[in-house]
Amino acid sequence: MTTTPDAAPAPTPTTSAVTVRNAVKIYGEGDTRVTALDNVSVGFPTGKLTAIMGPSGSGKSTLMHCAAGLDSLTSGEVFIGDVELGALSDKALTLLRRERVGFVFQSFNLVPTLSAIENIVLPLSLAGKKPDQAWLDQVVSTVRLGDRLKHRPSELSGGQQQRVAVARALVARPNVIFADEPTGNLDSVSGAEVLTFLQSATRDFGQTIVMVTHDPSAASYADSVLFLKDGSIVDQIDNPTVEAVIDRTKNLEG
Amino acid sequence: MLRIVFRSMASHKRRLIGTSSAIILGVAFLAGTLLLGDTMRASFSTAFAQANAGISVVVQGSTSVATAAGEQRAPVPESVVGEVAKVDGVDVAVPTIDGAGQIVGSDGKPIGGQGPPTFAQSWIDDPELTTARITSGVAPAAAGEIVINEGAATVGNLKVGDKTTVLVPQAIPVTIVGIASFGVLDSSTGLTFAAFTFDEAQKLFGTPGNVSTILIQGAEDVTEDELVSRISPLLPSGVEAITGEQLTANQEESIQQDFLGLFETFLLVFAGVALVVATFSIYNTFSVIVAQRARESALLRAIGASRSQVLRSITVEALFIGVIASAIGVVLGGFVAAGLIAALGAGGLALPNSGLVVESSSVIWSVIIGIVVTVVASIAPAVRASRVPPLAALRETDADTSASSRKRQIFGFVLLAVGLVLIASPLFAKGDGVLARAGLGAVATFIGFIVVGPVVVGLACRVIGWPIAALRGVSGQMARGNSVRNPKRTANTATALMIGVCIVTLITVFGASIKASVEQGVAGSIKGELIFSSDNFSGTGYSPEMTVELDALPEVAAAAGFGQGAVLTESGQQTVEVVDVAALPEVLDVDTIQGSLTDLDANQIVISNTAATDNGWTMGTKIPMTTSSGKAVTPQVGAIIEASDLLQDVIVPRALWDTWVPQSGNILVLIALAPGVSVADAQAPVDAVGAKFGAGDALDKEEYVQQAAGQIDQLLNIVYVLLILAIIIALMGISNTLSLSVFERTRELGLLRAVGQTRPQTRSMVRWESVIIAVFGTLGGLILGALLGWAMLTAISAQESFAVFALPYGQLVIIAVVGALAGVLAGLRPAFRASKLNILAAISQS
Repeated sequence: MTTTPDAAPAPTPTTSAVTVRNAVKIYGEGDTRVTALDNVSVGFPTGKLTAIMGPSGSGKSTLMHCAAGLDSLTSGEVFIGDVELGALSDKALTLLRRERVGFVFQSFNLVPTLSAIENIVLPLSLAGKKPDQAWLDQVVSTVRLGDRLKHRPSELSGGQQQRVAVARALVARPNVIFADEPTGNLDSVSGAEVLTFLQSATRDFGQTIVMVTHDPSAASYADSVLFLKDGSIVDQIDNPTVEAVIDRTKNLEG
Repeated sequence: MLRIVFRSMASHKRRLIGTSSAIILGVAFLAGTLLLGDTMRASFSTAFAQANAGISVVVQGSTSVATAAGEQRAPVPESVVGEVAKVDGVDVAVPTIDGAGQIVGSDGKPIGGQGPPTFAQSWIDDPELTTARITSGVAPAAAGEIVINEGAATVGNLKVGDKTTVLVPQAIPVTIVGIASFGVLDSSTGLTFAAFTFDEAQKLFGTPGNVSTILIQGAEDVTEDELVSRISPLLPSGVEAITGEQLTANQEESIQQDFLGLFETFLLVFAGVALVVATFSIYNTFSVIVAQRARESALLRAIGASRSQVLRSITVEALFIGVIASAIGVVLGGFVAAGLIAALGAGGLALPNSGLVVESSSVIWSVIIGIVVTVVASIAPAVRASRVPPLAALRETDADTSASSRKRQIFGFVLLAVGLVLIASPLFAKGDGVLARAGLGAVATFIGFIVVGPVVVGLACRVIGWPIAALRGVSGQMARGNSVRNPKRTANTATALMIGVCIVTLITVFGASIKASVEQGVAGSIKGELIFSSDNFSGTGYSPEMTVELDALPEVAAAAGFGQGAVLTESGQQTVEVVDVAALPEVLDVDTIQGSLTDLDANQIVISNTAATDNGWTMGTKIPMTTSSGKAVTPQVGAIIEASDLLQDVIVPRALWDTWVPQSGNILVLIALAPGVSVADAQAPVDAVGAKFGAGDALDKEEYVQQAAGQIDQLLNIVYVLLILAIIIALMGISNTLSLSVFERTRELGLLRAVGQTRPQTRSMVRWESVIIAVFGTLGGLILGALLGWAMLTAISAQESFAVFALPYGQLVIIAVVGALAGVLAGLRPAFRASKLNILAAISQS
């Protein structure tokens, strides 16, 4: 309970949209026992884009899944706003995700039977709520889809699909958006578009975003980058550049 | 390659169960029916063989006429008895008189008559020639004394010394002097026996100087065949001798023809429907599996498997499923047969020997049909799998979401158009071949519907899903979207249900139309205010004397009895109406075209204009006939009337018929009341006469229509029960396909759950998709069924000039609602599976 990895910043709940305390996640038992998260404590600051980097198996996806309420911790706590996730039932978690968490996945972000605009308002529709029209218009205009809003996902390019996914995440005004390799399936031009879009979401709308990535150039769009290794946070860079990220990555692997 | 097939099967056990269950159920029904047939046949054979064990030779009339009451033979002259008794090798020769007679129970109601025969016969003393053994009391020795079987005694609550009545169909007062066991044929089969003395039997239901048969027991050292060859030369023409063995064979054949065959065919039709529905379900499951395995097939092709190897791998899988499922189905069929036997027993039709009889041919046929159905259903999907190009392994392949091909659309609509034109044609062109045309049109329409399904499914499901999308929010909207996502799959899934519902609807429409026809007939043509109608089809009917007594009542203007019989004419067997012709115009609207009904000579009969045209008969034509009692007669046409659905085409006056055939009752008596007499006034005296003849109470027109409707409903209910299996198979098909679709949409479901879809919302989404598919199938079936029902009735009415088409809206709405509810049921399992999905596993699946 007392050990905090040296390089990690002290969590400051008042300014964090999401707070993780002493998170431990263990998979399997006996010989197949794997510690995916080894007593991690971290706060994701409100209104900032935080990137999580680390080699395969470092626990970055697990951290994100647990922080988002998709997976449960073996021990430790996760707060989204002031709500502790561990105490919540499956139903309460679902409602929490619907209202307070947005998601952008690497691929397959959109429901193929719904049009782009229907996908954007999906979390609100599921909650049976009407979107705030002014906010919706603002979000939609930033996606720059124009007349393709009524189109099905299969009629959109990969970059367009990811932008729709980000818009969907934004529209419910969640406490936090988790983006899991959002540019993993895109070419560099489309990827840059999506990243710029994420960046402007934090700057223009004050949206908190947590992005898992292994691409240094993607991480460079973030306000700060956390580095994970073997289930622990081992490093952090604020206002990163591509070169700085590559340097630290080399150090980690070296 | 074979190893891959088994690995693949082993890793998809749940899918295997889904596919197999359709086959298992279909085969179980088929095998159950066949095994029931085997058991019934064996049971009756044993019973006949035991009953005939002591009989070496039977002498009987050689002409036979099949009537509603069974086969009737010409009698044997009594003088023959003495002659055959003298033949060397004949130990005993006993004449018998066989007829029908219903024993009235202690509650005043006739016993039995709902199917099993009601025998009346002469008592046979020789224990070698009969299985009857007196268990209490004595044999009949004088007129008015009878022995009855134990079954009848139990059902009718009768005991030795009781006085009761036997309807032959005249009411004969009798005293029960003995109760006998009739061995294996007794009680449980529902048969009743009333045995009189020979003399009284001859007087009541025989003809003077004649006997029904002569039972002969031969000496030990003479074979049955030898005895037949010794006896035959002595017999007059029209009389034959057969061995006891042949007798048994004849009895088996006759029960097969009259009862078992019909019964089995009736059940087999429904087993066939279940199997057709199963075929569609299996075809669909295989299509989905093949689509999902496209990448696997492509990979196999890429690493060197040939097209035919891929094709074979699917076919082998189908073959294995077919073999295993059919085997399970046959075993289950044994239980089905046992269950049916128990159900028949509970319904009063227990078999003489219990214990399931299994003929190897039934088992083999069931298994072969099960396998063939499975393999045939898998051929098209297998061919599709073999056409997957190796390159498909390298790219992301989606399940087949294409709509139907242009060729299919054109073919479907052309077929549908041709079918519709054909079934509508009787409206414009009546006459010959109407039924054939309508039948052909029905088949074309039916196939057209199936072919067109995928073309219209998109639009139809969008319309059906509209209220769901509007009311159930985004989950309803997605349910609607999912249902049209894969038009072919949805259409195929729904087709199985459509076929089932189509048949249910067809039967319902037919039932309603028959009821409407009866109602119209009663309202339109029947002038009699009170009606006795017998639902007692294997009983003896109402005595003609009852009509006479009713006619004599002061409250009654006229009473006419209607009976049915059969004669042989030059062109074959002809069913005839036996009526009190003179009273006919007073109780029924009859249009006399030529001659007069009230003015017939003793040897004159009445025919319909249809019979006149068909046979070239005119007024005065003499028609040679052989009666069921073997008599050759030549009545003359004395009047021609307009054909009516209430009368047969050949009408023989009661008085003439009674000189031809002994023991003939009426199944219907129409009573017209005297002027100024109300139904209420007449009811009591009319019922009093009815009670004397065990006829129950007379019905007014409305009650009569209700009784007829009740009988039709009873039959419909049996048919519905038999169709339930086909519907269940279709619903399992929907459930199975949806489960596969859910599996296919794992990542999408994971996404939905991640962005905040609750489990109940996921369940509701899958459930509503199921409802949309089920409603599509149900509506298709309703429309098709109603259309085909209309087509058939239009054709029948064009040819037969009766039959009214009626759409039972209430029942059709019920079918639609039940279809939708069934969709909810079919969606339960896939919805549950979808909601239990592990989100993390779903979204991290690559």
